[in-house]
This record gives sequence, structure tokens and C-alpha cells, in this order.
Amino acid sequence: MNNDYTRYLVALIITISIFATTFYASSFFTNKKLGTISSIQNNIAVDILSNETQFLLKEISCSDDSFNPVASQINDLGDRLTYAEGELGADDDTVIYLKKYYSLLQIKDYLVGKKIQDKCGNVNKPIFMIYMYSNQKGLCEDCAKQATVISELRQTYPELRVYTFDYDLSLAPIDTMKKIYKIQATSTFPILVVEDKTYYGLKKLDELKLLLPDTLKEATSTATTSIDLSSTTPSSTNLKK
Amino acid sequence: MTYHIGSLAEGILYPFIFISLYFQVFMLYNFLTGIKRMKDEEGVKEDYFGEITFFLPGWNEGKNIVTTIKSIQDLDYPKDKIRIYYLDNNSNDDTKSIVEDEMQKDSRIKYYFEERQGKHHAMNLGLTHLETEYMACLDVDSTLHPNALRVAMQYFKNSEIKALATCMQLREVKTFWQRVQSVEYMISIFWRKSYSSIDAIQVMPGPFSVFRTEVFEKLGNYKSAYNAEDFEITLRLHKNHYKIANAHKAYVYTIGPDTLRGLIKQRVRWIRGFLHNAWDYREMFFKKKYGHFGLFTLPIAAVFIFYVLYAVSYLVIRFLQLWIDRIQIYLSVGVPRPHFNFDPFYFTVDVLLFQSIFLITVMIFVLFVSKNIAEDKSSVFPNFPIYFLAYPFIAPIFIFIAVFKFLFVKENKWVLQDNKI
Repeated sequence: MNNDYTRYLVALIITISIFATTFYASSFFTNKKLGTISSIQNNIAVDILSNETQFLLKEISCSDDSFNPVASQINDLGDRLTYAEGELGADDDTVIYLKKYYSLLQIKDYLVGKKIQDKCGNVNKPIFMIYMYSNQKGLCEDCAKQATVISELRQTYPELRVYTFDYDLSLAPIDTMKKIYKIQATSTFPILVVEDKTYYGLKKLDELKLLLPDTLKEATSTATTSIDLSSTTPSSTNLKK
Repeated sequence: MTYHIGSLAEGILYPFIFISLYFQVFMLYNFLTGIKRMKDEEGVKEDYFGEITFFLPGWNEGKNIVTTIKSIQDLDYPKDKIRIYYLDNNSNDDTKSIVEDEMQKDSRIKYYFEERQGKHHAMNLGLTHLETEYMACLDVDSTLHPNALRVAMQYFKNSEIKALATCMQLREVKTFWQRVQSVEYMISIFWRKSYSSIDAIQVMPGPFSVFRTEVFEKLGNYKSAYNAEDFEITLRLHKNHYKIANAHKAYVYTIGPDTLRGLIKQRVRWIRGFLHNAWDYREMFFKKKYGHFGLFTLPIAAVFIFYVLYAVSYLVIRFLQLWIDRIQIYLSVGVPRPHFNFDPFYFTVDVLLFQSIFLITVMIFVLFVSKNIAEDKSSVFPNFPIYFLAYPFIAPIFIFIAVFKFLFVKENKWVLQDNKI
């Protein structure tokens, strides 16, 4: 009878080493992804600052190439954060930090975009949509559905700018936006703000299309290209899985 | 550690993954540390030719008899040292007349008829007539390599060796499911050798195994053993500290089920037989006195049954659930089609991925080594992807059925269903 039992220990040590290495490698690649998100955020921040600076210098000509294509980057960033949230969990500190930064960038872009819209009038007029969701259990069963609808809309209408916010994120500018649009704590999710009007509850694709102004549909049908507002990524815009 | 384990179900998966990884590492370690012993076995002088009787138990195997008998007659082994007992298990085809024709040509062949259905009855009938020092069990749908017996018998020069497992390969690989099995059989050559290096062989292969006759004189005849008599005799050998070797160069070629239905039936019988017999011999689990067989082989086999059942079911259900949810969402909100994103960023790089890469790497290495041991010239590697893709879907099916029947159905029928015994 073979009585060499040290082989169990040797195999155990090797197994633990391999197992630990795979955890480390997994963690390493996840951090690399978070690094990618941070890098995109930094680029967006620079682009927004550039747009704002241009505006302040009154050098804007309202022509196609006057602006940096921030919206598509923001949408792409939103998709990546959605993925990171799914991978690491909504409670992960890094995810929460990145979401806060993402939210601030969106608000900043929203404000700069509004200012540009005011100056340029009907030329290159983008349509703004704010989408608020909640990660609280049982509070927003329809948020995944709403995200799918919004993703589809962005595919159809590249001029549509969607800004997505986690309602529960502890961030003063988000609270201010809630006050501006009179969104109550007892609100029915998902919440949509289209052209400064607030809507509560799930809006299906056809319902949401009806809420969009005709100018957007016309702009799309005539294939007008203005400021690059198209999304490079086709999946969900929001951070709600 | 930032890694997030999403749910309890996924959390339970991790100990299983660890055990699976441990199994692979342990088996690789056994094999690698046993290479010298393996080379010594291959270099042994072939000068021992014990007298041996081949038992050929069969039910309605008329079409295979001649081929199998001929493979025995063609063995590179002294003719006068071989006897052949055809053990007819109540056949109603032309088995008897075919065997009688062969008996006219070769006086070493004898024919015995057993009315009671069951391989163990046929084998026990053969044991009552056994006169040689060794007995070899050979399935009637299997054939031997000309050197198989000569190679095998050298192991018995060591008086401690009481039984011998051999090297099984598939003879006919025609259908999809036979291609899947061809990889499985090939890989099992490595695992068997690895188990052999720690004297913990899990089962005596039905197609071709060799025993010293004294085994049956001391341990008794074959038992019904829920129609898994090969596994039961292995348990009995280990329980009585009888040493089993593995002749990795003694090749036997057998036939696997050609349909999915046949494969599932066969595997249900095997797994059910394992569960029943393992339960009957449960006292051997985790007992040091039964060596690595009690400490490793039996427990890991039991764990694997539940691991496959749990892990594969979990992954398949999760995959289906994800897509059903996604499709439901698309349908409910009027979005016509799903969108896909092929950016590498979205490729999930987690522990499961690395474990899968490790598993595939080990399997390819095992397949490569096994192919060399078996001196296989067929193209088994192209079958590896289909084995790897098909098995996760069929394994839970037959394991689930086997576990269900183990728990709720008493009888383990198989003879007429499998068309072989």
C-alpha cells in the first residue's frame, strides 16, 4: 500500500498558489478596467472644460467642428460604469466614487450644452433628457426595461443627449437637480425629464418617442449631422443593471 | 480584495472550483512522480507467460463473437497457455451455433450457458469451471491488441499484484457521441495511470481486466452489485488490501454507445452503480487503512457527482435566465432587437475564466500524454472542442437521473436496454 501522504500537502500548496494567483489576476484586470474608466473621465473633463472655455471666450461659431464630441464619450463611460457596477457591485467604494465623478461630468456637460443651445438657437439644437433610476431593492423594477428603451432611442436619434443619474447617490448637485425638476422622495421610478418636463414610471419605446419633440425626429430623418452626440456603444446608458 | 461574489449560489460554487482544481493538481502530481515507475514497467523483460482463461460474457452478441475470439487467437502469447470460455447469458440469437463453429476449429474454446440474466451470473458460471491461475474478463464487443496479454502478464511477476486494469480505447468512432467519448476514453488513460501510481485505481475496466484466480477463491464470486460488478469487485479488492496495477500498454479496443440515448443509459447505470456500491462500502471513505483509495478516490468521485450536478446546472440556468430576462425586457418595451457590444472591455475576466483556462490547458496536456501512452494515431484532438462543449450539457442529465434513481428507484436494470452486459 502506498502510504505517501505528503503529496496531499504538496498538491494543496500548489492549488492554493494557483487559486490565489487567479484571484490576484482577476483583481488586477478589474483594476485595469477601472483605470480605463478614470482615464476616460479625465478626457471628458478636459473636453468639457475646453468647450466651456471656448464658450466663455465667445469664439463659438456654432459650426460642426467647434465642439469636442463629449456626449458620445459620456454615453460610452456610462456603459462602462454600468458594467463595472455589475461586476463589482453597486456598493463598491470605487464604483460609487466613479459614479459621482461621472454624474458631475454629466451635469457640467448638460449646463454647457444648454448654454451653447441658447447661443446657437435652432442650429445644432440637441435634445436633453434626464433619466433617474434607483438601486434600492424593489424601488425600480422597471429601470432595466427603461434603460433598454433609452439605449434603443440613442441608436435611433443620435442628437438625443441622455444624462443618467443614480437617485440615491449622495451628491449635492443631484439634489439640486431634484429640486429644480420638483422630484419627490416618494416618486415612482424610473423618472424622466424631457425638455424640462418630468415624467414618472416606465415609458415604453413608442410612448417615449411621442414625448420627443418633432425637431429631433426631423433632424434624424434628414440625416443632419451636427455636434457629435452619437453613442458609440449600443447598450444601456444607465447604471442600473 | 475587491472581488465581489454576487450571490450565495455563486459563493457555493467556489469550494467546488477549488476541489476541482485540487483534483487536477493532485492527479498531475501523481502522474509526474510516477513517470519513473511507468518507465520501469515499460522496460521490464517479457518472459512470463502464466496460464489464463478468457471469460467472454455476452447476451445476443452473435455478430461480435468471431471478431473477439479472433483477437484472442491472434495474441502474441503461447497458444497452449490460453483458454476461452464463452459465457452465454441466455441469448436467443445465433450465439450458440457460432461459438460451436469456432469450437470445431479451436479446441481451447468452451461454451457455457447461463439462464439467469446478469453479467455476474455468467461470470460466476465461468468461475466454477476455471482451472488456470489467471482469469481475464473481456467484453464481447471488445478486441485486443496482439501484445496486450504479453504486456499485461508481466505485471504478475510481482506476487503482490492481484488484479490488473488495462488501457481502453474506442474502436469505432463514427457518430457525434462516439467522437465525444473518444476524448473521454483517451483522457481516462491518464487518470487511470495517475491513480495507479498511488495504488488507488477507481474501477476495473469491464472491457478487459485480468485477475489472479485466488482473488475469487479468497474474496468470493461476483455479486449483482446493482449491475456494477466491475466497481464492486474493485471495492472488494481495495477493502482487502489487494493490489491492483495498471498495464497502460495493454491495449483493448471497445465500442461506445452510438446515440445520446444509449450514452445516457450507460452512464446512468454506471453512476447509479457507483452510488449504490459506494454507499454499501461507505465505511471505506476517509479511512487511512484503505490508502489513497479510501482517502481520495472514493470521496473525490462522490464530490464530483454533486459538483457537476451543481456547478453545471448553476451555469446553464444562469445563462438561460440571463437571456430569458433580456428577451422579456426587449419584448415588454417594444424594442425590436438586442444590441451587442464586442469591446474587449466588456469581456469578463474573473476567477472562473482563469480556472477554465487552467482546466482546458490541463485537459489538452492530459490528452496529449494519453495519446502518446495509447500510441494512438487517430485524430482525437479535433474531437476535443465538441467534448468540451457537449459534456457540460449532457453530464448533468445523466447525473441527475442517476441520483434520482439512486434515491427513489430500487432496481438497476440494464441488460436488455444496453443490448450488452
